[in-house]
Amino acid sequence: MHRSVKIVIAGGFGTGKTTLVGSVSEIEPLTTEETLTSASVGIDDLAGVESKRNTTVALDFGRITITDDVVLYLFGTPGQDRFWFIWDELSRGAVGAIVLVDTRRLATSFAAVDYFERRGIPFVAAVNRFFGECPYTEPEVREALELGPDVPLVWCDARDRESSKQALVRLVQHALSRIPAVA
Amino acid sequence: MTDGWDDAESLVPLYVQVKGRALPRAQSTLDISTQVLAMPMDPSRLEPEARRLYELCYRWQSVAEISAHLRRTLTSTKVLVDVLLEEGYLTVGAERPMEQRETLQLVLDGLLNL
Repeated sequence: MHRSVKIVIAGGFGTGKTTLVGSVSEIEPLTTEETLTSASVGIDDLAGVESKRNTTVALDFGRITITDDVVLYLFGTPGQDRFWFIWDELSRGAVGAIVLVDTRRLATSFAAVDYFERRGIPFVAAVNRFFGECPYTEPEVREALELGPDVPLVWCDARDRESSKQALVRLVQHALSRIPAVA
Repeated sequence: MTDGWDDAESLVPLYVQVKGRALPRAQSTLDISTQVLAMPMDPSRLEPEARRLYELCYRWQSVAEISAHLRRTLTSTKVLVDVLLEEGYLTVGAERPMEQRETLQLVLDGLLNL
């Protein structure tokens, strides 16, 4: 049976999501778009055309062929945090998520951490070293992001294929560890 | 946001384009990552865009990939894929993405061997 597997690459604006997707994908990252009508963003004001104007969100994705019949898709979340219904679509049935973190702007990744934590979706936080040496220790980053003790924290360089691969490996290991072993 | 996307949709309502449909069938569970494959059929009677979609699927393609190649939004891509599935032009792999242990183990091994 031909199967697909999804991993979500999240994090705040400018944390390197598309860079990570591009460094491990076997294809140039592709972009797809979704049009959000006023209904999808929860606006119920039907008076006037202005409120019904459509908003377009773009998302980048890549793919990794695992076997002849299993393909892994990596979906970057849209830059804007507020389009949660796209996050829901990306997360449904996903293995889990990598939340990229820029230590100069930790707060930009907070919404992503919160999103996956609340929904019980496995995720790892990945500090993107691209932005230079991290001035914080691991406990400091954990505390700032309010990461649970079981959430793995990794250091990566999203430009580097091997480093991005390791972050994906850590996520899949983490997701596996949360599935009860079959007796 | 991006020039050239869905120009047709701005002129023609979606429901006119896809046989009166604006949404996939209610029972459809097409995901952004669901992959489809063209079945051996004669596509000559298909509308040009449906035909392009069909021809893209000579290899397995996900809804997301089809959307990117056809420059259609995800929702309108799902509608078109759903119509072609219903008419037998396409076949579908596993509709839902997989998250079971066995699949995760395959993915882990695959990543380690990259």
